[in-house]
Amino acid sequence: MISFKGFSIKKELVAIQLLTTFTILVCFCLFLGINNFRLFRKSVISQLTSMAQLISANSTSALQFLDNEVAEEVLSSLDAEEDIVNAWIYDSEGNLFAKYGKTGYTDFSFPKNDKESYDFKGAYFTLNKRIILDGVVIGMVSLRLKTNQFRRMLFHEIIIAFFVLIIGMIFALLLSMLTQKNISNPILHLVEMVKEVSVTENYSIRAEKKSENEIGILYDGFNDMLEQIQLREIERYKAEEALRESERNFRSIFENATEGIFQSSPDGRLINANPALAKILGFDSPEEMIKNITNLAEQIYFDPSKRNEFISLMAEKGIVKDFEFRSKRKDGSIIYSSVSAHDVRDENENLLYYEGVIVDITARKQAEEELRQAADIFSNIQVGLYVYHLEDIEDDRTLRMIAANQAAAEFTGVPVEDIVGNTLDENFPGLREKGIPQKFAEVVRSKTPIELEDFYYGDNRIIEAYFTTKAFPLPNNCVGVAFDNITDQKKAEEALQKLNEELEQRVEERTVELSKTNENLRSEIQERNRAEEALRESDENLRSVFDNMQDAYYRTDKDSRLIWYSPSAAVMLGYENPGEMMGIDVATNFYADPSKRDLLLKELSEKGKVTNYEAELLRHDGSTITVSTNSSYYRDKDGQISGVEGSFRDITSLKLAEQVLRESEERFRLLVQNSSDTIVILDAEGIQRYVSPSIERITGLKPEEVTGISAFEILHPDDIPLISEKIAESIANPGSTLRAEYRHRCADGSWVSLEAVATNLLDDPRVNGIVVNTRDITERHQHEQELYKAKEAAEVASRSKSSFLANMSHELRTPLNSVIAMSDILMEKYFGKLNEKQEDYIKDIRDSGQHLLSLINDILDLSKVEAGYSPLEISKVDIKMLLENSLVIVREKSLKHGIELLFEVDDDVQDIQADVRKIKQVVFNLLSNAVKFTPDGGKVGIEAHLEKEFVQICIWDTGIGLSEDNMEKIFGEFVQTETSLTKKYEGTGLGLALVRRFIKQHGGKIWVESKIDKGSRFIFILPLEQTNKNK
Amino acid sequence: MRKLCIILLINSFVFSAIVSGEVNETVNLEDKLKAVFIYNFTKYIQWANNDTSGTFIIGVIGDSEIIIPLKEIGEKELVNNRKIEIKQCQNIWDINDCDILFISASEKNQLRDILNKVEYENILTVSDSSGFANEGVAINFVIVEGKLKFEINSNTINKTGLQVSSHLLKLAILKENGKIR
Repeated sequence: MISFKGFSIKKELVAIQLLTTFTILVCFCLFLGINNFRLFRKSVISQLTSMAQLISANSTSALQFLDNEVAEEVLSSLDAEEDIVNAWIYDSEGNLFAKYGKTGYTDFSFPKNDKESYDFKGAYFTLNKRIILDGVVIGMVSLRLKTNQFRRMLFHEIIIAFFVLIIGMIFALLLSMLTQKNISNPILHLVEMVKEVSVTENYSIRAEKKSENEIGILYDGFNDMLEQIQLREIERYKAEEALRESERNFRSIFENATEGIFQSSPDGRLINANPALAKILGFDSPEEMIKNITNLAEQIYFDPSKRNEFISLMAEKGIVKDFEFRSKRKDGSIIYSSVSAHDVRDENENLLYYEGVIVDITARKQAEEELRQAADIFSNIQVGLYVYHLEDIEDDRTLRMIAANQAAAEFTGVPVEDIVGNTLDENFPGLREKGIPQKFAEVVRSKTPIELEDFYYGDNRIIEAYFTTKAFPLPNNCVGVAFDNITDQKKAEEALQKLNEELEQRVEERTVELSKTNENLRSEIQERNRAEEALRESDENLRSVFDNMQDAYYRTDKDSRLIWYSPSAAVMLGYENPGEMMGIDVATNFYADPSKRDLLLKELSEKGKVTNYEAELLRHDGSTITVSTNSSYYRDKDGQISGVEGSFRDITSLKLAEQVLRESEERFRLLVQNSSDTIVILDAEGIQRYVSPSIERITGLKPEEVTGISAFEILHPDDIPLISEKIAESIANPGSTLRAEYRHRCADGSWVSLEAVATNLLDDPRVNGIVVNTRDITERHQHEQELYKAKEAAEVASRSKSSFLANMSHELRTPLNSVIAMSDILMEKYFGKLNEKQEDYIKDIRDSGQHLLSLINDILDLSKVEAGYSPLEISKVDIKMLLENSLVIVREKSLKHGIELLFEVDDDVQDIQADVRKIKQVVFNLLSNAVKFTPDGGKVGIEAHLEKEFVQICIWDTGIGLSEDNMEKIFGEFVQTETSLTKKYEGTGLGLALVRRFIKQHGGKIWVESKIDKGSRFIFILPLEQTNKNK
Repeated sequence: MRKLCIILLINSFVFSAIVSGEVNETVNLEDKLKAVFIYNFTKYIQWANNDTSGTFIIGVIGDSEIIIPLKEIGEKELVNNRKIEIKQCQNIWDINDCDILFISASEKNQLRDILNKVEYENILTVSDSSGFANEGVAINFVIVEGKLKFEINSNTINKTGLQVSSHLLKLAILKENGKIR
């Protein structure tokens, strides 16, 4: 580094710029020179190489044919090249073959070389190149160039570079002289100011900023620095003041503190101590202590190893808090003390001494010790505890043990693992006859605890003993069972009570003593208070926990700050870390609506306690739960209110269930209100307890007009007997559903027909009434009426048609009889002979006439029946005789076809009441059908027997039979089974229709049993006696 | 490489003879030098039938010691990658397939017949007898001031259609039919 020491900033700036310029220029010139030399050399080489190539090309033949004259001739062409001064050609042996030299260079000794090369030597540049023909080296050519031209050029360049350098430096000097002011002036200004500040020590001077660049920043920085220095000066002054003040304060605290303050060295010496410490340890003055104590471990610590523990804690953490140990006073008495201390180190982290505070905690320790003894006694009571879970709320056999404590196991002699997981009955079968499972289940259901005093029990597992047992409900359908041996418990209770009294007495004595002796020692009073408080609270806590096991428990101070709570409260509110909720303002942090807390406090102040107060609490994660709380004031020893305590229980799920229930009720109500049907709820006396609003739409009566009145008030008087009967029937059958129709009075006095469906829900506690669902059926009634009328009209029309047919048939029959009679007469040939053809024609006329007549007869009969013009003429008919006689009619035809006739009629088939003519026709029609449709050689028969109040008659054959389809059809008008059959078996097709009508008229019935090609059985029944309506 | 060595050997042999000026085996050395020259001619002359196959035939008509060094060269060298065959021509009818024909001094009497026979053929005729160039032989060796030189008859060259390099022409003593230029 070039040093500019001693230069002013101005000169330094100029020198730097000149040096820079000089370096750049020299470098530039050097680069140019080197580059020129390189280019020159390159061009010389390429020039010479091409020259050598030319020469070698032209001299190959001369070399081959050994003609050196020609070769020298070739070389002499170099006369044109000014700078080439010598040239030589060698043969392949290296012998000189031809040479060339410019004037003045002829004597020049030739260089000897046998490989291709070039070199600069002295003033000359020499190049050697091989002469090659067909790949064979046949010689070598060497050229020599004088280089004085290059030297000239180099000299010129150096001269130019020198001048450029001189001119450049002059310019650089001028320029730097001008520009250096921009930098040097502000700095010089700053220098002036620094001098002024350091001389005057006036830190309020500020530099005037002129530019925004780094110099400007420098100015700002400088100004800031001055300001900082100025402020620090003021602060330093203040701090010194404060230090002096705090020194005084500290001294005063140190001297007057009620707590002992000390500084001690690690090797066990006391460096400093305050009067309070001397007092605690029973010395007259701090000076005496410091002088006398040379080994803290031996002289102060009751247990010297505690001192080592203290030192190792210090080494580990550097700070010790509430380190408790017993210390010896000067007079040899022992006190409990607690020390909080930290180490003091120098800047190299070397330990200098310990510094800390010592408090006398003897009173607290004693209180704690006493409390511990009380707790020991409590634990010796050994209350056995079982927890059962009622899996099915309705079934006490599902009480399953889910937990048992060790005390219970010791107590009963039954190990915990043997009974947990079993049901109560499995564990202690003998308890059922004493009603214990039932009672426990009831505890779960009613959520009220029970106590069983002097309960004697024992079985093969449990030693017989008297127990006092308390069963108390727990959440989630669990029941806790605490039990104890009475004598043990009584002893323990007495011991506890006695101890408590002693304890209180002792605390009181202690309090008096302490207040007398240590009135000035505030810390000791606090200790006592804390001890007393802890004792009282613990005592109460124990009680509270015992009483309210399943609930969360809390206590706040007068300002609503939480000062104690049970772990279940933390769980309920979702706080995981112990003590996290301590000191929190209950109203603003836990209440979703803080005003609810105010309401609670108000109620508390009015009534003294609050029960089942519901409020929404915020959990730690922001969700809310609904709780029910029981709260009361708690009071200190003097009966003064010192806060609020109470228990609370999570009833969120209960609330939810309630809400769901309410919603479903709401839905149901809406459904009822909007239903087109009217719903009425009646009580057992027939009073309408509820009428749904749709009643107004149907009757015009408002629901409130008809609610609370008797149902009979709105009934049509004619319907009252029916409805009162129905109501009585409904009440007699709980849960039954009945239907009824009745007329309901309307607002305008008219009547509306209603159909009612009533369900008796008197036994259902949710309804407790008869639910009647009524519907307006006025319209339906009208429709039914219209339908009936239409049917009547249709029937009248049908009857008119039938009477028309009857008349018509009669008119047709009269002329037909004439035709038949006349053709008969002609057939008898009374009026002369007929030829064969005439006789045939006459026969045809008569047959056709007779067929037509029978057809008309049948139609006539049918229409008469249908039109109601053919009443039965009832008389006594000997049916057996009638059947026998009817066989006569078909006998002739059956003989003709070889058909056997069979007759099987019971003797008791005798007189019946019937229309003899019609029955005759029925039997004849059926018999003639049977004969007609039975092939030759078949059988036809009649069977009859009595069947209760009927006579059953069967006419059967072994004929062609009927298909199943046809069995129904054949009783219709104009039906024969098949068209093919119609041709073969003549008939009107009305016979069976008539048969059915006649039998029906008698109140009987006909049916047929048949199989194709096997035969048919036409069976009909007739009542033995005719009633009026059949006529 | 081997080829290079041989040429160097020959050349040194030739030069040593020339430089020392010994005459003991003058005839022998001269013939050897002529044979080398004949071989070197092939590098500066292009035959019209650019035949690359077959052998390159150098014929010798008449009695001449030159055939011995020619055969030595022919065994070792190639012309345009063709093997060299040295052939002793017994008579005038035996010369047609030659690429180079060396006419011995002994053939002076039937020189005219030989030249007529090869006048328009693509054959390079060579001789070493004074005045042969003027008679129509293409190349004729002569001794000038103790150095071996050669004459070229440009008329003959033109007729044969052989392409002769200017480098060769520059070294030669140019002749025409019947007179010295």
